[in-house]
Amino acid sequence: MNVRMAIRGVVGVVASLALAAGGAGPAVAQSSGAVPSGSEIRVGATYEESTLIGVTGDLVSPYLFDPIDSFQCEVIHNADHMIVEMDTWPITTPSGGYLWSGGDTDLRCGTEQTSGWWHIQSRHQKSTAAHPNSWETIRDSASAVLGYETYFSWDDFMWMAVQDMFTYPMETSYEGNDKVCISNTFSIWKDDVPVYTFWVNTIASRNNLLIISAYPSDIMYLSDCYD
Amino acid sequence: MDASDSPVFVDFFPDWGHRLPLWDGGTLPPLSDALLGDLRSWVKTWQTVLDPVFEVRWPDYETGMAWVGEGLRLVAAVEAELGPGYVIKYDFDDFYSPERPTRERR
Repeated sequence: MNVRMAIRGVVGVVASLALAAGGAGPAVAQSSGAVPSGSEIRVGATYEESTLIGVTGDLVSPYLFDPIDSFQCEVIHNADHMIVEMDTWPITTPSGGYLWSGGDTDLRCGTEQTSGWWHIQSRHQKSTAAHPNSWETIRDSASAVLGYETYFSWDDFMWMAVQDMFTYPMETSYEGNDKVCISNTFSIWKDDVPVYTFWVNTIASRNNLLIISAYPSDIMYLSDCYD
Repeated sequence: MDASDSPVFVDFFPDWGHRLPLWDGGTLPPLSDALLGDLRSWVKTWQTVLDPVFEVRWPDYETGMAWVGEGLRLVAAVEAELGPGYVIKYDFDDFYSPERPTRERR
């Protein structure tokens, strides 16, 4: 169980817990009490384990950053600040070899030049002419399916995807120097139909149990994890 | 290139999970094998020698400067192979230049 996430009352607690626990039904990222109607828009690797991000205008809360994280990362630039920690399971290579040991894995503020949230923000938040797929591409796609601008920010989608990648790794590779690449498909579901599907990739340090980078493939139907 | 054509922008930077430093959205014409090999080697040096998980610290000033110099050579080589119509953008010389060593006091 992701203790740090559970403590964050200001964020989408239900979604976080359901994702972290791998619950049987789709996660619901909204305040309790609301009974949505109409088409449900979800994101995730599978419909069954997907996260509800909106229904006909219902509000949801971003869940990655809280005010403390924002202060630590964006104001005082504390590279070591841990934004979030997730419990991960061991992952093996297709031939059964060791790839990832499992254990508590951190996303830290990092820096633009190194790794972590700042690196992902710097290189993979926004698309460019040379880099057409980014986390904003996924956010825009989700907004298009919702019919309004989603209240989740780019890094909420990033973190949902990273958790999915560690829970349902589809393609993996060892990158050398204790870095691994883990990827899967990340879909935006309208009811139970995937409207958009992206390959998303995480690079993690297995000796530091650290998220180094995470990004959607520019060629959206290809994983970037290959030997 | 026709004067009415817009240039194709190509970002050039090393990153985690990428064997080449070229970000073009999969639109580039093929480059020579020799140049591709040099590009892969340059990224590998960033990933394994600099290995900037926590900080930008080259083993020594000369190694860092050699890597920056090789990157600038590769940018020029890519531009030469692609020809006109492509604009290469890079910031690795700002991001990953080594700190100049301070002189020891006697």
